[in-house]
Amino acid sequence: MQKAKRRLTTTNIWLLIAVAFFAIMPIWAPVMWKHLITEIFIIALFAMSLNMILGRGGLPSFGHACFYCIGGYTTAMFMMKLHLPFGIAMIAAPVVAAIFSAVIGYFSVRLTGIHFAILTLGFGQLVWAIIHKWYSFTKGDDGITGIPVPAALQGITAYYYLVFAILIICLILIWMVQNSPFGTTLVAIRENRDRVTFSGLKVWHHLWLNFIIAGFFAGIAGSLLVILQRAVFPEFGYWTISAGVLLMCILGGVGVFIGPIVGAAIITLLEHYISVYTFYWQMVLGCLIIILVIFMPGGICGFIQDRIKGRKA
Amino acid sequence: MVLKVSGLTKSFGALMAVDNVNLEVDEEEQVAIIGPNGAGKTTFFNLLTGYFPADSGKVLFKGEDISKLSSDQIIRRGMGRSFQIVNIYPDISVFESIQMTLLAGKRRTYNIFSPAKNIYREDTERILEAVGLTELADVPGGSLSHGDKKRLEMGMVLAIKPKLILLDEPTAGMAPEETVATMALVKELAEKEHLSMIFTEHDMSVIFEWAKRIAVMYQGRIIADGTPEEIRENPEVRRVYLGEKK
Repeated sequence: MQKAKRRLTTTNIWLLIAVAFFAIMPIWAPVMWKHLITEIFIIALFAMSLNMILGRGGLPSFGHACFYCIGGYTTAMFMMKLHLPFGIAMIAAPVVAAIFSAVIGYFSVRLTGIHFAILTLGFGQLVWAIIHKWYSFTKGDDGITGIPVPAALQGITAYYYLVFAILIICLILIWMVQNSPFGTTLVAIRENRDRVTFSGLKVWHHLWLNFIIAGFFAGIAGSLLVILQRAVFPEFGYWTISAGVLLMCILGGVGVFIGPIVGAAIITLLEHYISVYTFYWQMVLGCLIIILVIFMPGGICGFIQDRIKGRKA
Repeated sequence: MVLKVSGLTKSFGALMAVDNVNLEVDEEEQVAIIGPNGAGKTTFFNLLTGYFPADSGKVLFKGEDISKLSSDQIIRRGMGRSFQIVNIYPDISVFESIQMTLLAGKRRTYNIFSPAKNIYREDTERILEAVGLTELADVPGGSLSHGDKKRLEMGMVLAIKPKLILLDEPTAGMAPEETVATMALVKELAEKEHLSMIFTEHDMSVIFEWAKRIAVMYQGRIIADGTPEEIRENPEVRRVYLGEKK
């Protein structure tokens, strides 16, 4: 108990340092950095939402980008087509994403493993195809561009702080969900479905609710990205985006709370910096994945956590 | 009467796994089901708990027909079950395993915002004490000894506050001393909680020592049902089952 308390305090101190660092960073950082970190915050939230399904639920979703994309399109279309204010368009994004994830999840969560992966992939591609082909409604692969952003958020610093605040609120909410009775139940389902059933619970109801919550947070991330880029394209929902975010979770560590954030940061930075030197930045990523899978099956954070635990024991 | 099974039948292809089984269990009664491997004991349990549907027949539990219900619905009505192959959460601590089952039993699992840590601590501790796992509360289930895993599973079965418990070979894979201790525990808990119990067993010494009533299953059918003495004397039982052992 004493030890656990002490460890908790060290974690909290690191957390405070990180929050303080990112809170004061915009004061001295160049614009490009602020833009990059804002993007990382958004992708990190997207990865965190996927990890609710992947890490807690133990289900590999290959279609998670579709909720990200739906969130983005909802914000864009609410503003461009319905001419609703920015605030409403932002709130609508996670709601619409959650409605879609309720429908897709209803069919998907009854399956496990590869079947779940293929079905979510199929649904994701279906949504992508509809957005891509339905030109009159979505403008197809032209995407929706020139999204008007309120004057207060046009500077990158202001938007950085908005995204940062939303990220922190979402992380707190996700943390609460994970440590609630519901979160505990999800872990139990991942460990042993039969035992949960034989405790008198409907397993798929819990997985379904989890899928919906994850879609909700992915919708927030999608909406934030659209405002950052002032544009949205069908490619946001393409399966390679789903695979990429899956990779971020695995790279960072699905079993550790901040794992997906670390994975999102590393892959986004790699893409950004290595692509300056070589067109083949994905080769570097490939090598990294091979090393990771062989030597750190628990991801980077899992690896570090094991080292710390090993030293304390 | 807690349980009344009539004409329960299940076949897998040409194999009659459970063949027209009738069985009645009273309040606080303990029934042992014996039979050679493949006699249909586990399939019978699977049918009772809705693991898969029966081809025909009826199961009345506390007067209600449960033969069309799903497993979780049956469990909620007060039927607890342990498995032949130990069925626990390997990476969750003993304490949390029990606590989680209590949450399930009390329908708190859709609560997404309050911290789970402090819910039902006392109830959990009480169950841990009852099954003798207080000392091992912080150990992950997967690291327990085989006997302790069975105790943990028993704790989880009790946590849903069942009226009837089905124990599939509760002492399978245990050393003789462990077997005695486990059966004593099962008996004590069943009496204290006023539970009805059906358990399967392949070890003859366990059966004749602990059971007041024995049903013998062979090729999917119950061929005899009575006190240990009656079973011992039953010529058909001697032929198909006890005879094999000699």
